[in-house]
Amino acid sequence: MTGADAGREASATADTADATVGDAPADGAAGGAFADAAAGGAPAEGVLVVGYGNALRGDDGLGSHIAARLVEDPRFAGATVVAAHQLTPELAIDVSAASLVILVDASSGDRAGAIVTSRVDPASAGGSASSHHLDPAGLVTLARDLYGAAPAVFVVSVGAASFDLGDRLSPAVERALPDAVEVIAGIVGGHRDA
Amino acid sequence: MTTVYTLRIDGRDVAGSEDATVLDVARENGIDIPTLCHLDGITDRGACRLCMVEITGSNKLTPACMTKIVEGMEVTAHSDRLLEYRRAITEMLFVERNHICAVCVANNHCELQDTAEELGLTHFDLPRISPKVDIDASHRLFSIDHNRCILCLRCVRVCDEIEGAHTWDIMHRGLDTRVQTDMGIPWGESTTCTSCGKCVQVCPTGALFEKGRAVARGSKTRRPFLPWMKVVAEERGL
Amino acid sequence: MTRTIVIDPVTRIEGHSKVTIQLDDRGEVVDAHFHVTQFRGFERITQGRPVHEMPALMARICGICPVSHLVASAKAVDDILAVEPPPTGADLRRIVNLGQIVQSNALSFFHLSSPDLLFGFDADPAVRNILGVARHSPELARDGIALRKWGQQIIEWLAGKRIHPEGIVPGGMATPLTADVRDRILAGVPEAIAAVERAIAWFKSDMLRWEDEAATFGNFRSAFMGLVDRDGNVDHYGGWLRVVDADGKYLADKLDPRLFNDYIGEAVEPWSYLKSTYWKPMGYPDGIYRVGPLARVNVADRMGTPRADEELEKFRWRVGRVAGSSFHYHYARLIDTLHCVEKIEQLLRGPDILSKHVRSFAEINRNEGIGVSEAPRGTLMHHYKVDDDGIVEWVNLIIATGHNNMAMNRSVLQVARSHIKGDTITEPMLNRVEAVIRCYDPCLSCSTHALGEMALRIQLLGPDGTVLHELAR
Repeated sequence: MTGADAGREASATADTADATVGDAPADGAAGGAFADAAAGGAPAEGVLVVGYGNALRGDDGLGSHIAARLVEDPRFAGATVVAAHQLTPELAIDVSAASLVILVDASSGDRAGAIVTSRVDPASAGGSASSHHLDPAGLVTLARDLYGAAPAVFVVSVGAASFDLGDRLSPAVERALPDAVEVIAGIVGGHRDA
Repeated sequence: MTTVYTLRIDGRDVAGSEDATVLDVARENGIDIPTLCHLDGITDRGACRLCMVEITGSNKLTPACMTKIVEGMEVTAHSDRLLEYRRAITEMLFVERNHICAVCVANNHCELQDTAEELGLTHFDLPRISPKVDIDASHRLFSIDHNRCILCLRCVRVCDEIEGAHTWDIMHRGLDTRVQTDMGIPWGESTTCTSCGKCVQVCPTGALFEKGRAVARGSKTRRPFLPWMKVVAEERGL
Repeated sequence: MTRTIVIDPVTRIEGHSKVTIQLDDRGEVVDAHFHVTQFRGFERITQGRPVHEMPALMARICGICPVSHLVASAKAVDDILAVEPPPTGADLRRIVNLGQIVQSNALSFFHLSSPDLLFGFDADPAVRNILGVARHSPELARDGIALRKWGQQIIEWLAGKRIHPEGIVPGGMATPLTADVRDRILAGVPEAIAAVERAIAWFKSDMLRWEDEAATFGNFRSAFMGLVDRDGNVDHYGGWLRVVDADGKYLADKLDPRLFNDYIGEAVEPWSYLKSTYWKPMGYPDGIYRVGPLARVNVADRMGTPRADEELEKFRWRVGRVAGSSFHYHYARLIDTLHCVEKIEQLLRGPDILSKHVRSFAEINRNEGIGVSEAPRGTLMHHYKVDDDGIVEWVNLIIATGHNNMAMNRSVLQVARSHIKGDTITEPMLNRVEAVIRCYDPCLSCSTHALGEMALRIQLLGPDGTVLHELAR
């Protein structure tokens, strides 16, 4: 964790006491919420964005990089933005409190930098769970079975070039970050207008 | 009577007195030029090279803190090229020593960290030098961790100009350059150090810190005393 | 000819490891090893750092039990400073430590072990996980999540970030407690108690199903070690070491934890990076002992809080004064958790808990310091040596999983002997081997979590190391 960005806790949001960029929980505990839902009427009220992945594994850390950008973006005012190491059962509580959930992850199957959006239907989600983290469908299923929640859930994945040890992104993924933010903003906008 | 010069910085018409530096005038006018070695109350040194600006008519970059303004000067303080240089300079400051923010006493209170963030320095392209560097914890109250020193020489200047002790100075050259106490003896054995702590207060990183401070607890809150002390010193003709 | 079955890595435990099971010609298990295959070297990389950095550096050993390392490390530095934290500072450290144990115990029981207990060790792994628990017993799953969240919030509110908190400092705490935070934590107490009590009631109603497992999951005679206070109650933060044998007879009591080196030896085996500790008076390997929730309830006279003491009494009716089977770690872990919740409430209601005096200051006064506390998985020991300027020269850590290393190996062998026959291994056999390790909730933590699923591999190896048979799921 050498370096300004990775080492700094609460990097982009020094004012937000519980932000935890660059220090994603190793045990998969829910990361700190960057910005909790603000006063009513904010543009992204009821939106939960979880950027997840291992910040020390190259492009796997793109989730927390995107989370850091969203916090700065006025279009996401009022949203709960979380940077997490993995999807953990605790996040089901946050999912159940949201009307729109966007999960942001790195994918190994797609071309580096390619952005793919998919939707998870809470009603039919099955999902799988391994040691103590979940896949997106698993998280949604858990929120449904435990708290009766049925928010709209999107998965935005960005194709990764490298999962090697290190706290930096590959150039292709770095370049794709602004587009990914736009894609997420588009989902939020579409949800608000609907 | 002081003469007032008018000049342009980043296309804005600004003015300053004849003995002002480009950095002074820029700051007075709300134009932010990054720097890690300048500190109000001590003389400028041009050590960090972050405040480099372009001056029309000159083909080389000039440190804003060391450049007196001239009538009709055209200064570019912000450009893509300058941003690139400043990022590179900051990156070099990082790779030259061993900066581990996450477990540093100055985490979240660090000017180097802030600068990297402001400049958008997100990763290093240069290889890390990872030198084996010492810590001197022999002083009863303070320690210096050379791993975190960026050689801004604020400690050297404040100790000489404000405290008048001149305990701090520099030794060796190039990558081996270190700040030193007295003639390179352990700080705790220094006969000139008054243990005033000013060097710790002015240090922009976690290199100089109060002993016993835990990680991220090293905020330096007593800095504003400096300009005031400088004024007092001048009034007394010291 | 000897053949070896390798289970690599073991899933649903923290960190990475593998198991090898050696078979003889007739397919009988002859030996078993639990290997810890990762090495991090914190003892080395902290050399040369100022000792005040140690708590924060040590917290980074692990994202699972950072608070435990923080507490043991801060106590070791206290010892070097020869300073006692003010009483309120010590109590706040206790609360954070207990909050950590609550959330970690909840992870172990509800998230990792309850699928086995709910669906049985023979159940399909596709169902036998947290999602299956949520579908089948949503209240159980919600209780686990709620307890974990409550514990994490305590850490975050009192000590800063949940994962690598920095509020615990040499000499005490960095900041005092506010009334607002106290009240917010207290507000969660009734729900936390109800959640643990529901889990205990379910476990008790169901535990007879697992008599076979209780008989073979590390059911052997050994000593137990844990911290107790001056009245013989469980103490997770301070107090004295007590060591009892399999009959509950004291091997040692009121032992100053700072003298642990006189009593605990460390043996190194070539097949693991994890040192095996042993009770020196009995030698290696006879000095086998266990630590953790089961040891805590076995060594203490009482828990020291009313509800937990009531449950401890029932525990002892069911499984005896000193429970010998590691299967009972689960039951003990629940009682331990109940005690932690009650104790947090007691401490928060203390008259001086909001005192502003939470930190003592001192210079380096000793060249050596030892800090001992109870981590979720058992007794944790930090031992540092520093020069006169407080620069770290030498570090030794004894972690709970090291104390339990011999017991885990013995348990794996026992389970393998009773469940593995012949040279094929089935899913239920495999899961029993893993489940016995999970009883100890071993923390092999490393920051290098695998990407995606942790695959489970079983290999049958010939004596020359060739793979005879491989299974993967």
